[in-house]
Order: sequence, then structure tokens, then C-alpha cells
Amino acid sequence: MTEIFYIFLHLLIIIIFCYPSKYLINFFNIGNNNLIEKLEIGIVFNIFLLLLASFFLRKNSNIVLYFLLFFFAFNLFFFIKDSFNFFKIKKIIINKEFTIFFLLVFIFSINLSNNLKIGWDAQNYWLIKKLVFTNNGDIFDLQFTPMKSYPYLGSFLWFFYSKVSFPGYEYFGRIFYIFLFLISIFSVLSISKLDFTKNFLLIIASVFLIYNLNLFNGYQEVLIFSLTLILTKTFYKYLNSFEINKSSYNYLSFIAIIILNILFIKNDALVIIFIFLLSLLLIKIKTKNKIKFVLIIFSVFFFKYFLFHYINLNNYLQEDNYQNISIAKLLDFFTSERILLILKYLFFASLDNPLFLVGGFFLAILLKNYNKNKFYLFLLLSYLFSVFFIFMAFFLTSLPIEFHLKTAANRLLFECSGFFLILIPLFFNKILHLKK
Amino acid sequence: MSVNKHQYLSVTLIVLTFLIIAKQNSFFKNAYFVSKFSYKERLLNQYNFCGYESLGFLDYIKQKYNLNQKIPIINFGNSPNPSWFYANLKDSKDSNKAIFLSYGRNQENFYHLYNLYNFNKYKIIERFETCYYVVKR
Repeated sequence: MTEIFYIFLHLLIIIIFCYPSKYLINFFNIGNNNLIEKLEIGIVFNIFLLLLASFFLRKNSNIVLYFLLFFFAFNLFFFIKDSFNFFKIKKIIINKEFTIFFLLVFIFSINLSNNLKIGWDAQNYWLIKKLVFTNNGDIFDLQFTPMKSYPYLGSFLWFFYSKVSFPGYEYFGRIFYIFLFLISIFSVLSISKLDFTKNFLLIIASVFLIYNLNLFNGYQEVLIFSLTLILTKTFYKYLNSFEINKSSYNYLSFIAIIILNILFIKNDALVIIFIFLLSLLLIKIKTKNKIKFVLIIFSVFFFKYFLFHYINLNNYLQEDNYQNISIAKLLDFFTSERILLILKYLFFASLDNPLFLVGGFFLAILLKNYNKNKFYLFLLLSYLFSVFFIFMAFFLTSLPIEFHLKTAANRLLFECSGFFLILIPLFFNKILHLKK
Repeated sequence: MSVNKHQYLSVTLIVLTFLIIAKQNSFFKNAYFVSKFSYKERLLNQYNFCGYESLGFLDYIKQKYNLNQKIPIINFGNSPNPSWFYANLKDSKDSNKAIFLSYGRNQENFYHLYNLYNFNKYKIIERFETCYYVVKR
């Protein structure tokens, strides 16, 4: 019973860590008003702060941890202050959306606590990187872990949130993954204009369309997926901000932080970011704005490149999978057998996680009716580039293709589908608009 | 303070959904197991005693021989190396001892491991099926 109470307490700790002060909300000022959207800003900033903390954390030094404790106290102050304001109102107003969110996180966390098996790659790589920090190591010790090119932010989050939990068990770190996953879904669906009951059904349907306990077995795809959801939503709001002539710098700074976070989680994320960049370069927005995005993405990329170089990690995109690629042999990869195998596995993977199919269906309908909408065009390009990327990832693999497809098709499709959840609320908003 | 009457419907909806989702995710069964069994018992229950990561065997050796230093674990099986299970032990100064998991399997695929760890050079301290706790002769 005590452990269940600790899980409950741990969720409160995460909420307070991610609760943004009014200064942070004013700084980004991206129109986030409800509690879920505030937590969305808070969690992105929290991950960014922990990334910075990982740079400065040194062996046998607790200064960074004291700073994070101060940050916690600062957030706690605002959390209590806002809660008191809330209770000053004579009637109890239940924040229904947040209540559902909290119940889901709690149910999924209890589910995780009784299914502790850690995935294959997670045991081989991500857990090992987490243990570097658990055993008082710092980023310079990551060079002694397998797969030196793999980034480490997901492992650092895993370490940090298991360290700040009361029992200190490793899975408390993974509860943070559940928290981020649900915040991102709730946040994307908050753009829906449906009434509470319909929106509630939409949220539940979307969560269960995607949720699978295996997403939280230590693999990093769920982090990429969740941050891609927030990135897409922020980009959607950024495009809309032009229509209301709002300043775009706050959106750009928020997007820059999300991109930095994503790039420090997994190498595949680089492709996700390039899909994002290529898609936005091809839609009709001002060249000046396109240059800003190019500058942001390349500065983040070079920052990561030089930091990895400094801490003796390498910058290969994939260490093992693509070493046989050469222009002379390129045509050998493209055989009909390989095409059929890829199609077969992708078909089953998309049934397993139907968001990619559902997103494609909604996108086709929306584009048929609103084919000049910049955001839909952006999503169409992201969809096409994602399909191209997935095919190329398997066409060019040096691993036995069937083994690679069996182990990676689901995960790759899941990562890329982060762009398309937003289509669900947008589709229903349009239906609502047409009814009126 | 009084609860807004119009919110009864929402509260009922939330409670009903909670019950449905809880049932679908075996929430009550999971909560029962979490309260009844310790973290370690639940963790070991997820893995084979001897096979794949063999955490049961690793824990048995740790308890029986009161290990407080890490021991090299060589997994001859087609599964991740579970060295992380001993992560909270001190670094080893004596590498005479070792744990072999799934020894005898995958000889074609892992011939380099079989060449590297010649079994004739080791004496068996403890054995369960394909899991061995050994010391150098």
C-alpha cells in the first residue's frame, strides 16, 4: 500500500516540478491558458532545464541538485499560491480535464509498477546510460557506455525522476515518460472546440488508440513522439499567430527548446527534425521566417555536434545499421523482395498503431476541402517525407532486413506519427464548423 | 462551499470512465500486486529464473554468496546482458569469478564468446540448468 502512496506522491512531485510560474508563462506567452497547457510549457522547460543540469552535473558535487531543489521550491510556491486563489472561489469547480488526466496517469503508473520488464535496447543502452548518473557519474563517463553516438537526455530524465522519488526505484523515472506522453496528447486535443462530453470521448479514444504498456519499457520513442506532438501543435499556433498579427518570437523560442530537447533524446530525432524543416520550407510562409527556422535548427544541431565532440561521444547517425552503404552497391538494396517485405511489415505495424492510417485518412478529407491551408500542406509534406524516410531506413539497412523490420518497424512508424495526432481535433473542429 | 449541481453529470461520467479504464488495465489486480509484493519480487517475477536475462539466478547467487562486488556476467543467450541487475554493488577488484548465462546455447552465433571463455579453465561453484556461477581454476 505504501508503494501506491509513493506513486501518488511522485505524481505530485512531477506536477510541481513541471508547474510553470507566471513569469515562465508570460515569457513564452503562447496563449496557453488551462492547466494542461500550462503544464505543457512547464514540462518542455523542465526537460530543457534538466538538459542544462546534465551539462553542469559533476561527480561528487551536489550544486546542480541544490539548484534543482530551489527550482522545485520556486514552483511549489506558485503552485500553492495559485491553488489558494482557486479555493477562494465559493464553489468547488472541478477541473474535469485535469482530473481525467490525473486518473489516467495514475492508472498507467500502477500498470507499469506491476509490469517492470525493461525492453531489449533499453537494457543494452538506455538503462546503462541512466546507471552512469545513478552511480554518481557525469556526462564525461558516457564515453564508456555502449553506443557512444546515442544521446542521453531520456536516460538522464529516467535517472533524475527515479532519484527524486521516495523509494528510488528505477521505474519511478519511467513514470515521468507516462506523464509527458499524456500531457502531450491532452495538450494537442485541447485545441478541439467540441463540448466537454464529446471532447472527453475524443481524448479517451485517442489515448487508447496510441497507448501500449510496452511504450514505457525504457525505449525512447515515446519521448520523441510526445515532444513531436507538442512541436506540431506549437507550429500550428505559430502559423495562426500571423493571422492575428501576434509576435512570433515567443513561439520560435519555445520551438527552439523543443527541438533541442528532441535532438538530445535519440539520433532518429534528427530525421524527424529534418522532416519538420523540409516540410515547412516547402509551404508558403515568408522567406525571413524560413531562414529563422533554418538558423534555429542548424544552431541546435551544431551545438549538439560540438558538445558531443567535447565530451568524447561520436556523432554517427546510426553506428551499426548502415555501414554497408556505398553508391556502387546502392541498386542492390532496391529489390522487389525487399519492397514486399517492407510493405508487409509496415501494414501490420500500422494496424498495431493506427494513428498513421487514421491521420492519413483525416488529412485526405481535410485537404480535399481546404487544399490551400498552409498547415494541412505542411502535414501532407510531413506525411510524404515520413513514408519516404521509413522506406529508406529499411531499404538501406545493413542488418538482415526481416530482423530489422520485426524489431524496428513499429517504433519508427510510432515516432513519425507524432506529427499527425493534431489532425483528429482539427477534423472534428471542421465538422463542427460545417454544422454551424 | 457547495458543489455545482451541473457538475454531477461530469463527475458521474469521470467516475464511470475511471472504472472502465481501470478494469481494462487490470488496475485493481495491479494495485493488489503492488501492495502485496515487494519491488524485487515483482521485478523477478517478470524474468525467467534461468533463461534470457536470468534475474532469478543472479538474485539467488547474490543472496546465497552475499555478493557485495560486481561479477562479470557473460550471457551466451540471445538476450541483453543483465549486468545492470548488479549495478548497486561495488566495482569488482577480483575478476576470478564469473556468471555464465545460457551456456551451451547459440554456439554457432557466439563462437567468439565460447573461445574467449573456455569453460575448462573454470570450476563450477553453482549451477542451475544453463546458468553457472564459476571461478577460475
